[in-house]
Amino acid sequence: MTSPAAPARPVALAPTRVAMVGNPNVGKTSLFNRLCGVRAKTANFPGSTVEARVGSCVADGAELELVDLPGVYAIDLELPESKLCRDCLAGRLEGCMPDALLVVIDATNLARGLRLFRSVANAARPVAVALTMTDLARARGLSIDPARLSVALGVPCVAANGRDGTGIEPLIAAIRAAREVPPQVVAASLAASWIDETVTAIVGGPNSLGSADDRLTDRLDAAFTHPVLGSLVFLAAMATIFFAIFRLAELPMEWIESGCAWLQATLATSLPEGAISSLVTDGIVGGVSGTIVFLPQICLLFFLLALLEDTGYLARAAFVMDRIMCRFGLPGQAFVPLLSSHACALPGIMSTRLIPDPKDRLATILVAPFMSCSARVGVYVLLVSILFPNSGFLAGLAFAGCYALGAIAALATAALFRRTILKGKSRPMVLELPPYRVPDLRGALLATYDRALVFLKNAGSVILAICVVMWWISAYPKAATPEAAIAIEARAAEADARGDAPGAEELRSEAATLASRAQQEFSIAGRLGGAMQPVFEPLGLDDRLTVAVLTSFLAREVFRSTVTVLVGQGDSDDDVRVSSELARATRADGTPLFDPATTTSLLVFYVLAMQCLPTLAVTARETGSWKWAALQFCWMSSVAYLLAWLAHVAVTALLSTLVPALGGGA
Amino acid sequence: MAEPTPPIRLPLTQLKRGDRAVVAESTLSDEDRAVLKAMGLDERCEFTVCRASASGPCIIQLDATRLGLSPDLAKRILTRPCDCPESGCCAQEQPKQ
Repeated sequence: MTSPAAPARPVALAPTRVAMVGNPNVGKTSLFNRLCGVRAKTANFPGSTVEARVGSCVADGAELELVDLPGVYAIDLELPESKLCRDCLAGRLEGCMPDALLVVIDATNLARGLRLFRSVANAARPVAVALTMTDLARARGLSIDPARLSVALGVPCVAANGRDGTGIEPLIAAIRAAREVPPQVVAASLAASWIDETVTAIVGGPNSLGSADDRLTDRLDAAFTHPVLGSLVFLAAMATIFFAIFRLAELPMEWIESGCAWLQATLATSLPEGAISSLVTDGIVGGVSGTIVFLPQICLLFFLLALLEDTGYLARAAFVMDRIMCRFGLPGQAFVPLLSSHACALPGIMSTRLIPDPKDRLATILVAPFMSCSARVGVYVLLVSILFPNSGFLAGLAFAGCYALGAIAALATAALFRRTILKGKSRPMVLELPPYRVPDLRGALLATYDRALVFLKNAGSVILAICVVMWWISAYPKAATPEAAIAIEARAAEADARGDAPGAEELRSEAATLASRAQQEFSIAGRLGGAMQPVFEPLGLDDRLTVAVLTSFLAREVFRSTVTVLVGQGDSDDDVRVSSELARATRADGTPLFDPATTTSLLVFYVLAMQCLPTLAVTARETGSWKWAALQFCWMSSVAYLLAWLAHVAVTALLSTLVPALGGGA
Repeated sequence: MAEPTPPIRLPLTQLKRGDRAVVAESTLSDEDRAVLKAMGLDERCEFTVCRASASGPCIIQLDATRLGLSPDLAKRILTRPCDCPESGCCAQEQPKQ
């Protein structure tokens, strides 16, 4: 059978735009994926928090444009997905006026499908019906003849299966035929008894409820929704996802890092030295690579979630976690995005699309970055090893404490927001539990591809612009090379002349660190740091640490390299060397720079502060407004500042009590 | 003459696995009721209880569709069990698929 997605002949006719409407879990998106394949994209419409997918396919020389509207139980409900469908059918969505409708009906639930059909078929527009899940209906002993249904409805109707591709070509023919025959169903379908009469007339055979399949489903449901067993299964599933995100993504992330480093090096050598070279290598490639390095984690997360959702398990898991999450004003579905945010907040925020209620989804997006992401790990390791250099146990405890603090802050914030700015009734927790089945690998891959495209598009637009601005304020105005650095360069040249290549290399590195330190301090970012130092003084930060904190608002992992340049002897991969150097660093008055109170306050600040511009960009995109990204930034930064200050005060007070009591100095 | 016994109405959470019932009334908002109706759970619909609990989710089967309801929602739905002689709900022929 020829794939309907494959172009058979050159396009000759004007494209027909077909809106696909159906209840959730009827196989509508599988049909869409089968018809469009990769020729589809996610479309966000202004003023809508839900999205549709738009794609096209070419068959018999004519193009079909398909709009996969979100699954709805009725189009007249006051829910965002119902509103989107209403707007689409009424032609109120820009560039999305459908010429025809394809109503997708689940053969095992004909009555519900017909209710939706009746409500949408009233629009004076050609309609075709795709009957899905006919294999499941047959397994239940039901027989539904699409031809008889077609006669009863007055519109073309075919059985089709998006998973294996059966019935796709007749479906395309049915859509074409629908355009030539005006719908005749309207008058008959208005009768109150029409649905019951149609179901009785069309459906044959007993519905074998209580079959072996149902008993198996009963047992699985009992296990998966059990308070203890269900929680254990859920934790195991999440641990697997977590492991995959952290471990399996490691290698491709290294490839991307290496590729970007190679590109940076190549561009640096091939472009003439100067502002353009610095902009391209440090600003554009350096900045964007810091974001696209997370692509493997995003792909893995969405692939695994798509598989898990397709098995039917995720709907059950939502109920298990709902018991816990509802205490904080969040739905059970929020658990997966929050857990995913431990790898990276970007996929975590993007996966909030699993949450149907807009307020629940918004609350989850706003708190997700509190979860300790992998970018924080480097900062935690550095600060914890400075704080507890000789106690692995205490260091481990502090490390775990960072994760706990982030999670507590997220849940407390969610509880607060849901009772204040996001006050209001949540959507009732009622979910259709789809049948358990083998997941559709093709569908999962297409969903992953779609998410990856959205992420890359974001990285190539908003995030790129932000990176360029941050590069500019860090690189300008240019500082003159310090005399000390020039002197060291001269000594490096002498060492070269003596044939001491390693010595020369070390001296050049020292000179580069001095030059970099001078540039950091002279740049707009550095001057801002100097001006802002009084603000951060209560946290124990001097001007160098203030610059390090401010520059890491681009991305928190920058802290390590900035602080080692400003305070230490230059960046290094050796964690032990870096932390011992930093631990010895002193302030102008000779006291330790990283005293316990300052280190603790820095640690608390890095756990809680919003220091990730890509996350803010994704928040703005997912919420449809920079207002929420601004709130997220202000709230997280305020909480971080306040708690870091409290930590500084508490540790200072504790030490001033303990140290004299122990009879020693620091 | 004795007054007729009012029909038994039980919250969904108090039904047992395997019970068949119909929705009698609910204390839900119009909006929530509309959502449930659109999902197929209305007064005309007979369902089978797969799992009922006051602390965990309630799972019911409507024809071939399973719905999971949070206990908070389920306890606000009053049902008429179909084995209750007063209810009379099972005497009516329901369209089956």
